[in-house]
Amino acid sequence: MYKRGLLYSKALSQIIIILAATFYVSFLAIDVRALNACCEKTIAGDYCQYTDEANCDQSVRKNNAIASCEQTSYCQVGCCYGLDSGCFKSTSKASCEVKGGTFSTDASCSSINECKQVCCQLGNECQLNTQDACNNLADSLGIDPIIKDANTEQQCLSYCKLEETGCCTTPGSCSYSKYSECQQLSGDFNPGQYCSSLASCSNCKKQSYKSCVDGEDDVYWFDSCGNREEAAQDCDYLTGTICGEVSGNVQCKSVDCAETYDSPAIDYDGGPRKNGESWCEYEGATGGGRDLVGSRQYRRSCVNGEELVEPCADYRQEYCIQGTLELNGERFTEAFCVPNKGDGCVSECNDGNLGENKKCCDNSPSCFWTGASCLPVVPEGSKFWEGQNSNVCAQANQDFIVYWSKATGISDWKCAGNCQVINDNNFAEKFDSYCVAQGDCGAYYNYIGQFSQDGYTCSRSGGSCRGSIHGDRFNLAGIDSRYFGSFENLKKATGLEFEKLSINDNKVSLPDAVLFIGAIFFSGGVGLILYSFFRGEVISEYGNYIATAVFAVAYSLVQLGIISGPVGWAIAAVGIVILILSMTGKKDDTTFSLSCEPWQATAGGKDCTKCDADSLHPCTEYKCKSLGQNCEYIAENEGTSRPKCYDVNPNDINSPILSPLVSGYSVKEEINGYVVTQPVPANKRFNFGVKASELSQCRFSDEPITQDESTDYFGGSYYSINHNITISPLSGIDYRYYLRCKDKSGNENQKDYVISFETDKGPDLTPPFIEYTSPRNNGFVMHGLTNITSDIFVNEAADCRYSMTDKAYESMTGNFNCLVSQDPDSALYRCQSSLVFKEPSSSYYIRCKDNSTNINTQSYLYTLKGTNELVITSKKPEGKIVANAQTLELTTAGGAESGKSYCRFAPEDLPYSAMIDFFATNSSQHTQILALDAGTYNYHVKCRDLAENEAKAKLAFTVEIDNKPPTITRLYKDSSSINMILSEPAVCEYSTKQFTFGSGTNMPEDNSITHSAPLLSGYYVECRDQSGNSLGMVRIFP
Amino acid sequence: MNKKAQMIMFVILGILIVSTLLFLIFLRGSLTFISRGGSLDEELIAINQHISSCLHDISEQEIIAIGKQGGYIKTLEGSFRFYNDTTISYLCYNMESSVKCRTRLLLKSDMEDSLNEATSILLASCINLDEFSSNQYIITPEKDWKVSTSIGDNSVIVNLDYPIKVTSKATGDTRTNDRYSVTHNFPLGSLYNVANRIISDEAAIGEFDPLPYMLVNKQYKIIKLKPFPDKIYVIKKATSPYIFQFAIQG
Repeated sequence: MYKRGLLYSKALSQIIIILAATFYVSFLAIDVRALNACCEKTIAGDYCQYTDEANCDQSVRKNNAIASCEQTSYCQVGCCYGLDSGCFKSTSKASCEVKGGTFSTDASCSSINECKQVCCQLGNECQLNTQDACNNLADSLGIDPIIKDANTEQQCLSYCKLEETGCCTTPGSCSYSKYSECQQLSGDFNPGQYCSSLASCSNCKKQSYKSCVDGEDDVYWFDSCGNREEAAQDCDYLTGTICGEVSGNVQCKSVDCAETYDSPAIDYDGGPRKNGESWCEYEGATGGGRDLVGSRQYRRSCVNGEELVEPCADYRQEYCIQGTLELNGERFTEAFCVPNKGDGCVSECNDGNLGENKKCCDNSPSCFWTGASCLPVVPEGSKFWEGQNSNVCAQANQDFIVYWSKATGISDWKCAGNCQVINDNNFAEKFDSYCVAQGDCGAYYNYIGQFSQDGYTCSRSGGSCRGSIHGDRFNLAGIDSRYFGSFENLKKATGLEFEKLSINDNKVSLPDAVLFIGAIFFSGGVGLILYSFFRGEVISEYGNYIATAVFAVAYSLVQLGIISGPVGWAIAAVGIVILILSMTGKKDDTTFSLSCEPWQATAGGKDCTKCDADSLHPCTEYKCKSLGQNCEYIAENEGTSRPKCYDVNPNDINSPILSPLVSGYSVKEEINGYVVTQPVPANKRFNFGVKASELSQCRFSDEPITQDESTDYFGGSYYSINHNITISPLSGIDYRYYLRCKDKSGNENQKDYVISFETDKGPDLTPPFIEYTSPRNNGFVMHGLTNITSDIFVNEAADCRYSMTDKAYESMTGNFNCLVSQDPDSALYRCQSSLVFKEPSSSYYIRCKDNSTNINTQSYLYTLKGTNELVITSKKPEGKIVANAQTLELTTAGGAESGKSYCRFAPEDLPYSAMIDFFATNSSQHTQILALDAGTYNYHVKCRDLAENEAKAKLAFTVEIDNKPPTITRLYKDSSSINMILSEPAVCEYSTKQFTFGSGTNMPEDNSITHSAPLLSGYYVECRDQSGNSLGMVRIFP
Repeated sequence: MNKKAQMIMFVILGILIVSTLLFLIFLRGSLTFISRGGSLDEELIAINQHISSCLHDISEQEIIAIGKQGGYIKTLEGSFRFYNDTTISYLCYNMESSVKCRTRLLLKSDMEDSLNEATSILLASCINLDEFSSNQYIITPEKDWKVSTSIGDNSVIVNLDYPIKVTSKATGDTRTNDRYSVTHNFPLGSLYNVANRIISDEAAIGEFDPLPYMLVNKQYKIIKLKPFPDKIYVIKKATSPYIFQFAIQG
């Protein structure tokens, strides 16, 4: 009956627990709230949590104007001591005080005497603890503590090696224990005796089995009641043995690891390891930016005969380095997971000149110098499937402009600049290597060897990245995975050793794309300048000098003819013909825009289960997402043996359905495509594309697509619903785009989807139009700048000139350097020039001439405004302040918009980007309320305006908390009024009956120590000082 | 022997027989009393066993849970990492722009309080004194129970103060028991101390390396996991399956 009742109760309670847990988990999944306030106490009773404001206990403090709890006075971190468990470093003030601790701002506790560690011996127990905690523990146990100095725990524990043990008998039980433990059980202690030797414990049979004892090396006998007896076998930790289980038997075992995990990815692992040894494990290639998408690093170690694994932080936020020592002729490896600080290599060490960049790079252990650029040794991973690393990848984006020319009207086109882009068969792969090194970018392998092309995209002005121009063939449309070698090569990893991370030049080398790119630009630049000087065929600012030179030569030839007679005329004629032929030379260029985008997993989800198949390397979201577009991660199963990665759409066999995506034009849909029924204006931007019925990725060609050929992505490599591009079509051409789109399961339309349109065929009579500029027109220029590189974007290929006064195109002397080809991204034509800027503002008149010699008849007025220096004109608080809440206040002036700026603050001098925004900013007045405790503070503030002018200041102040209310020091009346003098300035109100402060009649002298009111028969008066401390309701009878 | 004498003999014999019978009857009553007194004790022992069993099972379940959940039985929103079907409490919160963390300040007394509260609540679903009430006995709890837990290095002692009076309806006799105690050989205290050591390093320098610690303190095994972006430490002793695990917020 009783048992049944118990079983029933158990079953019932389990059901309740399961149901409660189910609802609890559901609650967790649903109730996602914004974290926007630091609560001193939550309604659930926890302290100092940054959570939703609604969770705060409204009776205590909260601050939702601040980014983290540590910045509040009540949750600032420090040392908490005076508690029974010792000293706690880096603890919130509120948590400490509510638990009865004493708080000190020394977060490390190093200056607190009570936190200095001593050896605390309580009876037969020893522990390294603070003096404070030792005394507390002794009080609770009613034992006098013995306090000894000890530097290490081992030294302290040795004091208690002789602690007394024996059999402790209590009614119904016998246990071998220490004296102090027996005392707690109120048992009879039999020092030095095993339980099996006592008559009262006759049920405990001696030497029943062998086992190990906590903290002891030897193997011990145990009686049948589980009590320890004498040693059964002597083991010695120092000579390499310890009690342990070997094949089911408890015996002395080696502390070394006889066999360790042999990773197929590395050659140096496996085999025996010494106790304490640690080493790195990699899942494939590492270092030099080659880490595989989804891969993680691990630190393995041998501890007391057991091999343990410590994963380094996921997304390669940590990486593993190792070093080898020689100990008594034997190799001993040590490894560590270290924080990956490689995210700043590209952004912070590639700004200056080569020397500065190299120095910056060498000073960062997580970076390596390629010879021309600084890259992360191990690129960090990211949530690439969300595009989290778009900006990181984009750092590698590069436009390559290839130039062609023909010297005369009768000669052939020749590549004249940046020819490597089209001549080097591996140019795309070299760019991609640089892209990959940014971290989960470009076309690359994942950790199981799937190669994905997505992430590398090429677009070219006016056409595909695969084709030919002027007889030069090129193919930059795709990446040949063989460039990286086979995956077998990348599966092998060489350990990242300490030496390779130190500062020297012999670091891991990457295919030197950066050097290559630099060389292209240098040689291209020099080539262009020389070409400009000697041919005069390439747009340059030297055009006028060349024209002058040509005129001078022609004039000389004519003079030669005049002076030298017929022979001279003949020579002059030949010379002039040659000159004319040379003057009919032509130029051309095309821009290849190589984009580095986040790596994309291959379509489908057939490999999702591989994530869980490897029990040695736990499946994470990062790994799962790298295995296929359809792989989804189940976070709730994290840490369990249940599947965590699965194919979310295994039965999808349908390709996406495509429909036209054009606005402003009528289209006629066909079976596999559409036709724009009206001509598209030439030289105007035209946006068109397709809408897919599901997330998909599209590629295109200007000729029918065959199955295996590499093609350009249409509108990027991302999986999306809408796919469109913008071009500026040329006059009189029929355009035809062949598209194929595939969904995330890899289903692709088998027949090309064809988009057709044609452009106006009439003559081009419209002059060029400047679409926009950079810096923008009427924009601001940073204070002090005198030269500004300016870009103008024109709707068609044109030559542009400028002058400081309005004049005809031909009379303008300033030249813009204009490209012949469209910018692939904007479908516009970029012209660039360096403009001289004079304060307070400069205006430039710009006119352009297109290829049909249409010239702007009116100038485009381009104005740039200078700015004054941005200054902080006032700042508060400073010096000593007495208030319970402090407000940081700044006033800014000057700059681009009369002081309007964004201000930030921090308790230390940090870069602007790392500081915290003022709560009220984006004007010339900036405020931030803080609730600081008494103490001295130094806050750094920085403000920036639209023109990137920056002003900074430091606020140094001491806070004293005002808890004292004002007091009445004198009260008197005269003929018409009652007068009151207070101990400090305050605001006072009165009424003839009791009132709430704020609803009474104001005594007119605000924030004064003297106050008066008309003489009445009786008053209720309340006064509050500036800190809000109230005098209380006082009744006055005049 | 004359008839009178015989009669006297028989009278005396009769008196002796009656006296013996009366004595035997008296003795039987005494035996009955003794027997009935033993049943009351048995009843009390059964009640003790029931309550102790409840106390043992529930406190064991809670002590295991508190170890798995990082020292907390109730885990609040935002204060834990859900991992391996368990809400593992953060014992150190992340700090803005710092590798160091902010100690949550879990005291041993906090764990004791949590265990007291949880055990106390769950005991209500286990202790059922109605099962023992019958026509023979009245079972009266004299006041509400109170659980007090003491966390030692290698054991956790759970005491229950729950005065119960058992009264025999037949005789009015009573027996009482005030206190129940169970000891669990779980090294919660020593694992908590190791956890504090880890938290101290994480709070001060933002990192703790288990390897050198385990080489010096070989009785402990520390497993460090890093489910992004947090860290989880699982601590156990070599000789006990009991674990204490907690998270550091990343």
